[in-house]
Amino acid sequence: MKLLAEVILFAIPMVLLAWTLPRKYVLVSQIAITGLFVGYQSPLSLLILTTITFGNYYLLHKAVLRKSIKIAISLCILVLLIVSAKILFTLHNHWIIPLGMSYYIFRNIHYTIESYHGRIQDNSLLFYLAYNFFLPVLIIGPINRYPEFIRDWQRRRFNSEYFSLGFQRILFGMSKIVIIGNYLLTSKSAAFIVNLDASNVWLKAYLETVTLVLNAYFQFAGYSDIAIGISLLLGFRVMENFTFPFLASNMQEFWSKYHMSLSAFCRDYIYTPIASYYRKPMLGVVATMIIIGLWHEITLPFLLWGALQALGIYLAFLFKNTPSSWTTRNLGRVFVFNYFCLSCVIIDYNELGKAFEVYKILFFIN
Amino acid sequence: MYKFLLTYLPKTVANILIALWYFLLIVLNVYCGISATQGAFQYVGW
Repeated sequence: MKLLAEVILFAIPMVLLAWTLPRKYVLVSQIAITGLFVGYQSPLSLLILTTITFGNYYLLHKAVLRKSIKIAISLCILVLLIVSAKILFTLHNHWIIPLGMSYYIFRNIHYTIESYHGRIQDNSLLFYLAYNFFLPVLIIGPINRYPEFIRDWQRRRFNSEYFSLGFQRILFGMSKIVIIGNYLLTSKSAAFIVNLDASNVWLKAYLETVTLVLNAYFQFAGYSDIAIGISLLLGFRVMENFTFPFLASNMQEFWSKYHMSLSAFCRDYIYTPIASYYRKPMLGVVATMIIIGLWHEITLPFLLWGALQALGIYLAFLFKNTPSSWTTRNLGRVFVFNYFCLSCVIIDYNELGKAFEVYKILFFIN
Repeated sequence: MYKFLLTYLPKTVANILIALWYFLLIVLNVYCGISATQGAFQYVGW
């Protein structure tokens, strides 16, 4: 909450300058304010972000090497950086991963691959810096795309409708975090669950599981709304991250509505290459979901969580020929909600043993 | 939501309803924000 308030605080001068400064200074002001924000939070994070941004740009556009070698080196370094950071920060519980690293590494991987395919039209350093130092999406996404970012910059002009929509999204995001997440799903629901009769062990475990997942969803969706809202105030349209995922009637549909920027990234850069190379779509699904799991944290629970998501998508694939009706769609929604909540039990607790104890309660195993 | 309201109501009524809706959300945000961090307020002696 403190970090969110600080993001909004730094975004205010950014928005004011975005519409008052001459156009050629706008991106520079955005980069400077984002740099100040990251430096204020953690100077080491600023150093890492700056090094990765300049290093990757230099390697891709200035180094005198064959294109395929440059791309291979860039991808290896970026993947190694994120994997080693995740492993180090999992081993040392008191360490904190550099601010926004999980997201900007993915943005850089996207830039590198698009650069290889020749889909980067404008490769100036200023645009690349502005893309990497874009405050609204820096910390928790969405993982926006470079071509859309540049297109929005080129078409950018003051639009009162976008501006109003931006404020609306920020208000909705705050409401999701404060009213639904912090107040209803944390304070109120915790009091309700604690006051439940001790004999209601199953109900307690189920409600705890559901509130944990819903709280995580509303917090994350709220942050995404605020990021999209601030971007709109700056004149940029950032991709959506959630579109009512719990209304999905199967797990395949769920993952096209939940954390969409990450799942779209993984679909484009992990699923499609694997599925088309090996001609086995399910192999692509398993690899993608396990990588999504490990992206959160490189631990056994997250690996199992990823595998469970892949199993859910496999089940959707098995039942894809079931005739669609009101009943099947709604049964599917109940299944998706419960399947996702139950799969999250495995990552809700620090130890697998504790998670299995909760599973025993939820599935009436003595 | 605004476009939905405009299909059934006159523009002035729709505007008032939308303004009330935003006002309610802001009030709820302030109330829930303070309520959820009441402990913190007490701690700093407010």
